[in-house]
Amino acid sequence: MRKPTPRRRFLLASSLVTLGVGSTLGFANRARFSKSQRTTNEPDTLSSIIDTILPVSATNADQKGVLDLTLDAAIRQLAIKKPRFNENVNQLILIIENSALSQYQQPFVGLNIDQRESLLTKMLTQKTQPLARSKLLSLRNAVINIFYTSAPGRAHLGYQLPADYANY
Amino acid sequence: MDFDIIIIGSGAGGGMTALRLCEQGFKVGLLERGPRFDPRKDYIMNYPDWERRNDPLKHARQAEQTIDQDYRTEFAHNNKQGRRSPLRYFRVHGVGGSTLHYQGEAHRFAEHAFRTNSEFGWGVDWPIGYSDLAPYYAQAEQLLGVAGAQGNPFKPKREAFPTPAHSLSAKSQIMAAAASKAGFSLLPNTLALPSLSIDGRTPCQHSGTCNYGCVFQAKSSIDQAIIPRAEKTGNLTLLSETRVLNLNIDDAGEVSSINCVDANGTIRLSAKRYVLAGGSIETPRLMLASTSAAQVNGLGNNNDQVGRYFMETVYCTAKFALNSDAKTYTGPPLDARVWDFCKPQDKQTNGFVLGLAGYLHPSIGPSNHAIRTAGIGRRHLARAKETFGRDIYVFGVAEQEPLASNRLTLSAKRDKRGQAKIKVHCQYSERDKHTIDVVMDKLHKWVSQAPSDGIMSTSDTLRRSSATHVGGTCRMGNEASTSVVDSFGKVHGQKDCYITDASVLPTQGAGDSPSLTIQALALRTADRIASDLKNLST
Repeated sequence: MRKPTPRRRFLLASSLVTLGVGSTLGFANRARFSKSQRTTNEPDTLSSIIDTILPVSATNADQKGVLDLTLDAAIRQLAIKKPRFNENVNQLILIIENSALSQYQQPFVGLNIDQRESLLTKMLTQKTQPLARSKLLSLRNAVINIFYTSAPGRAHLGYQLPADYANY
Repeated sequence: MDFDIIIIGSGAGGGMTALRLCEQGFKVGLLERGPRFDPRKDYIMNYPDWERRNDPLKHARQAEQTIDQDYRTEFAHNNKQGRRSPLRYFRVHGVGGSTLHYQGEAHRFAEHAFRTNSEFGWGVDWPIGYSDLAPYYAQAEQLLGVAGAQGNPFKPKREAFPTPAHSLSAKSQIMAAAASKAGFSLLPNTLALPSLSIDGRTPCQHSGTCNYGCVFQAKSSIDQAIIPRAEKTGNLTLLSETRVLNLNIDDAGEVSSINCVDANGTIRLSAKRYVLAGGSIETPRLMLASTSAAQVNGLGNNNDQVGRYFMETVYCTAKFALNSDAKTYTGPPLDARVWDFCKPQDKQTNGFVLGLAGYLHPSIGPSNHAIRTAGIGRRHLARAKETFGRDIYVFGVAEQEPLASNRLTLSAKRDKRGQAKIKVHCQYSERDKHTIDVVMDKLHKWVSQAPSDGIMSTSDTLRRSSATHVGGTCRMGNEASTSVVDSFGKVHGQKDCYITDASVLPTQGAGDSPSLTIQALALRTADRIASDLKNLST
């Protein structure tokens, strides 16, 4: 069998997680977009937002074969533990979807990478919607924290934790 | 429990004293206020999320210190610099004391550092000179496996180091070239980070994480290099998480016992000899808090000298980022020093050294660095990678002029245990302030020659206080009227009480780190105690 590419592995894992613990998040998303509107391999909105915030597939970090836990799965697990975070993310998904529809007349997952980055960057730098900015910042920081405390994140920066040393 | 010797504090001085006395067959009770840490379990650097963890070493530093922080108000009252930050007293409560977080600097003071008064006209000469301490420096270095290179033109000639010097890290190679252009020389530091295995321990792995406790157990902190040796003698009783409340003084004015508190309550311990090694703030605090009819002003304080000549750390720093990826956080954090200015250049300036530091603290660790890097997406990813590990600090450490008016006294305020806190009265002299200006000027010149976009921020201890290397308060001298202990660390007028910590330092070694000098003095004092006790039994 052909070895999955990093991107494919990422998507496979995220769809598996979506069937399980992912039910906590993305409910609003699925309510708005029926399966018929999504292609088979299309990630849900949350996964797409996370991949826009931190396009891990662009880091080459997971090509080392050490990215066992996908970012969206980790975020979903975090949301299970923290109801307030979960609520924030659900609200953020709605806000982002509305923005995507308003600006591009398409759901967020349908935008190309430049459009997605542009939309989130504007949301992050604007001052007229402080709540939206705050929710996005919270998700951004959580995503970044999870990635850069993982082995792939450390590898991306070329940083070696003492526990990674041969003599540890 | 009765001991031959009770030692209060298990840091650089207390630990070394304990080892020497245990090896000579004496029963030693070593008391430590903090816990004994497990380096593979307790230190944050074992964990990927270390940036979010509570550092147990840091936790023991500021919050639990018995310092009355009104200090800053008093300082501000006498200075134009405005309100000063609280005294940042960097001490660790734990077996090994502050060697748990030190970065292994192991310096012999230069010969002139023992004679500031006769050579430069300020401060005070020590009652001993470099030659008195040299054999003890060598013994301490051997025990610690100090790594270094001979040939430092600014230091006394010496024998080979126990382990070879570490090769300069990438950051130091870059900054050595910059130093050369600025007209001074960056030399390999001398470090208690063995470059070869000693005692079966792993040699230094250059992970740059000394400050958070060495997870490799490579750094020669007291708990790794000294305590296990002392335990092997069978003569050491280590009582951790045991805080000494006060010393009981009998009618003759001698220490009769000490009162401590541990998890089970208050206990009283006694010994033939007592050694105070709690550091420059806790040792005088204990002495001032231990009174009797015979010692109404506190133990050993009939001449009102305990707590005087307090010296902070006089320190300047400049932060900048290198233009190239030098992984500034790898290698021993302080692997090189500039000693060109160790000997004062003129009558107005104190001796000082320069150095550079590159290590990751939580706010610039991988996760926080990426969070602080603005934006999202592909540009953020690239920018986070491009800028990681480039922050670097250059710094200068000078000694502070010892003044009798800079002193510690007991505060009316009490800590959680009901113990009197310490009130700090300390001001910089005009000489100290001038030295800060000179040091800062050198730092600017140095950075101007480095491949960077220039200094991002500066700080100095006139604005932001620091007590990394404090000294004085129970200084050593021949005259009881101007000092607290004699040249062997014995408290003037006491038969049974000694001090082996930084409080005995008359001056601060021209900016060199004091730990090796504290340890050498401790070995010397331990020999004196052993001699006293042997004479007692014959």
